[in-house]
Amino acid sequence: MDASWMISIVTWLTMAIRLSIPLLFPSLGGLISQKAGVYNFGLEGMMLCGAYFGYFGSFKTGNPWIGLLMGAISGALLGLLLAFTSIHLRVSQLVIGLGIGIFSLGLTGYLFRLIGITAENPAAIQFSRINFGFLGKIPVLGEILFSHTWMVYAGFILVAIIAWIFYRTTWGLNFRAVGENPQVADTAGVNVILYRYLAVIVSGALASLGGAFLTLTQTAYFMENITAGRGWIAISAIVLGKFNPWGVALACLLFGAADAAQMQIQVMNLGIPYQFLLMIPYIMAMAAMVGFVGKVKAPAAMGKPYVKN
Amino acid sequence: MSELTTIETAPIPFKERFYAFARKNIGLISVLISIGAVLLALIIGGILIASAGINPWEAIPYLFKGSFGNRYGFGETLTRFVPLLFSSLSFAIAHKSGFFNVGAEGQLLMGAVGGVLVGAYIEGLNPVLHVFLCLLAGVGFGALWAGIAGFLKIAMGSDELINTMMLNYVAILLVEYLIHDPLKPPDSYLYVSEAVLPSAKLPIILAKTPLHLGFIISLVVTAIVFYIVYRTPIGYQMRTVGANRKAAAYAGINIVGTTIAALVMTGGLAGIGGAIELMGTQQKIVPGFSAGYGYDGIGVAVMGRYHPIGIILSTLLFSVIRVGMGSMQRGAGVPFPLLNVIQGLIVIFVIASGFLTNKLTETVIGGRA
Repeated sequence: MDASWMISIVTWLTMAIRLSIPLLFPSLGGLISQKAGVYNFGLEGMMLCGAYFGYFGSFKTGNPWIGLLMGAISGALLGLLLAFTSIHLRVSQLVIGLGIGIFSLGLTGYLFRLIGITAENPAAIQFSRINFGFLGKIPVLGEILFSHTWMVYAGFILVAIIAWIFYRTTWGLNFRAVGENPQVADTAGVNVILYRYLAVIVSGALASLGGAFLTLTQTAYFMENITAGRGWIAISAIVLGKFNPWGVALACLLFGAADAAQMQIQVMNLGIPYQFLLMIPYIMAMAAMVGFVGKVKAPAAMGKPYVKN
Repeated sequence: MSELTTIETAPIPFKERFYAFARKNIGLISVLISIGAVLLALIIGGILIASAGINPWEAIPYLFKGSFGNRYGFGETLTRFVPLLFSSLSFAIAHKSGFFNVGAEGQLLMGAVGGVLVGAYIEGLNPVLHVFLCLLAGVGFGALWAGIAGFLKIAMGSDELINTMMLNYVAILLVEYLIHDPLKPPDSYLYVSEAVLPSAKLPIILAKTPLHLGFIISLVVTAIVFYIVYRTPIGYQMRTVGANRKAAAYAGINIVGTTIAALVMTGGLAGIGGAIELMGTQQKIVPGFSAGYGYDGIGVAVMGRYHPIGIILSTLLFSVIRVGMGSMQRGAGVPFPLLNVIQGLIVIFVIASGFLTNKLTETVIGGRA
C-alpha cells in the first residue's frame, strides 16, 4: 500500500467519525423520546433550529458557547411543543412532527435572509479543535482519534451516559417502563406524563445540538435546509441500532463512514456524477430500515398516547 | 308543538342551549376553529414581519393585492392552486388508506420527468393525444416512485414514512443529474431539461394570465378521486384498510391489492401534478422546479381535514398565501420563507385544535351534556 492510499484511508476514517456526530446527537434524542413511548418526527426541524440559532448566537456574540446554548434552548422549546401536543392534546405525533419541520424550515430561512440583508460577511465563530499535544502526533491514530472538536467526544461520552442511565439506574428503568407499559409504570407510582415530557424536551435539545454541530464546527455559516434530511436518517439509525445506545452509535458511525466515503470518491474524480454519490446516505437509510425492521423490537407503547384511567 | 313545549318547561340554561346549538352545527364549529387557527398563524407571521423592522400594515395588503387584486395575480393564484391541489390529494388519499406518503415532492418531480420524456421527445402527435400521453406518463412515473416505498413496505415491512422522505432527496438529486446531462438540450448553457413540444403544452384558459387548462383538469380529477374513494368498492376497501388494517384483513379484504391501488393513486396524483406543472406552467424542468409543493400539500390536507371540499378551499387559501407572499417579498421586502413559517404554524394549530373539536364532540354527543 503506498502513502497516498494510506492518507486517503486516514482522512476517510477521520471524516467518518466527524460526520457521524450530526447524526449521533439527533439519534440519541430520538432514542430517548422513543424509549419513553413518544415518536419524535420533528428531529429534522429541531436540528434546523439548532443549526440556525447556534450559528446566530455565535455570530452575534462571538462566543460559540452562547450559540450552542441558544441552539439547545430552541430545540428544547420545540420539544416542549411536541410534548404538549402529543402527550396532553394527544394529536397525531407524525403530523405534529411534520408541522414542526415545515415551521422550522421557514423560520430559519426567514431569519437567515434577514441577516443576509444587513451583514457583509455573516460568518460565525466556531469551536476549535482540542489540542491533545503528543497524542495528536501519533501517526495514523493521532489524526483519526485526536483531531476533533470537543463535541465529537461529548457525543460518544453521551452514548455511555445514556446507556448507563437506561440500563443501570432506577431512573432509566422507569423511562423504559413508561415506553413499554405505561399502565404498569403508573400503578408502580411512576409519573408517566412527567417522564414523557422530560424525554421529549431532552430529545429536542439533543437534536438541536446535532444541528448546531454543523454550523459551529463545520461550516461557520448557516444555509437554508442545511441539515438535508439528517433528522430523518437519524430515525433510521435508531432502528438500525436496535433501540440500543451503543447500537445507535455504531449505526451513526456506519452512516458517517458512508458519507465520508462518498465525499472522498467525489474528490478522487472517478467520473461518477456527484449526484449519485450524494444519494448514498439516503439510500443507505432506506436499506437499513429494510434489513432490520421486524427483527427489532420497538418499545411496546411507542406512539400511543397515555390515557390515565 | 315546539312552542308549546318551550312554554311548559322551565327556561333552558345557557349551557344546554349551547350544547343543542353545537350538536346541530358541529361542522360549522370545527370550520370556525380552523379559521381561528389560520388567523393565529397569520398574526404570528405579522409579528415576525414587525420584528424584522417592516411595518406589517404596509406589508399585509400585498398579500391580497398580489394574489387576487388584479387579473394577472388572480390567474397566478389559480395556477399555483393546481400542483398544490394534486399534492394535497396525494397526501390525503394515502392518509385515508393508512399509508403515510410524505414523498409527494419526489413523486411530483418524477412525474415531471415522465412528462418531459413523452412531451419533448415524441414528435408528430396530435395535441389531444400528446397531452393525454404526457399525463399518463406523469401518473406512471409518480406511481412507480411511490411504488419503491410501497414495495419495501409490502415485501419487507419497511416503514414508508422514512422511505418516502428519503426518496424525495434521491429524486431531487436524480433530477439534478438529469438536467445536468441526459435531458439537457445540447446547445444550452443552463442546467435545464429539453422543453415540451407545442403539441404537449396545455392551452391558456384565461387570456393575459398564466392560467391554463390544468386548472380544469385538477378539479375533474379531484371529483373522480373522491368518487372512487367514497362510492366504489375499492375506495371502501382503501378506507377500511386505512381505518383498521387488522380488522380489514379479518374481513377478508385483500390488503396487498388495496395498498397497491392506494399507492398508484397517491403516487399518480403527485406525478400528474408534476406533469401538469410542466406542460402548463414551466415547459421544462428547471432547478427548483417543485418549490416545495409536495410538502405544502401536507398542510393543505391537514387544514382541509382530508375532506374534498375542505381540501379545495384550503388549497385556495394556501395558493393565495403563496402568491401573496411572493408579492410581499417584491413589494415590502419580506423574505419568502415566511410562507413556510405560516404553513407550519397552520399545521400545528389546526392539528392541535383538533383536540378542541374532539373534546366538544365528546362532551356534546357523548352524553355528558
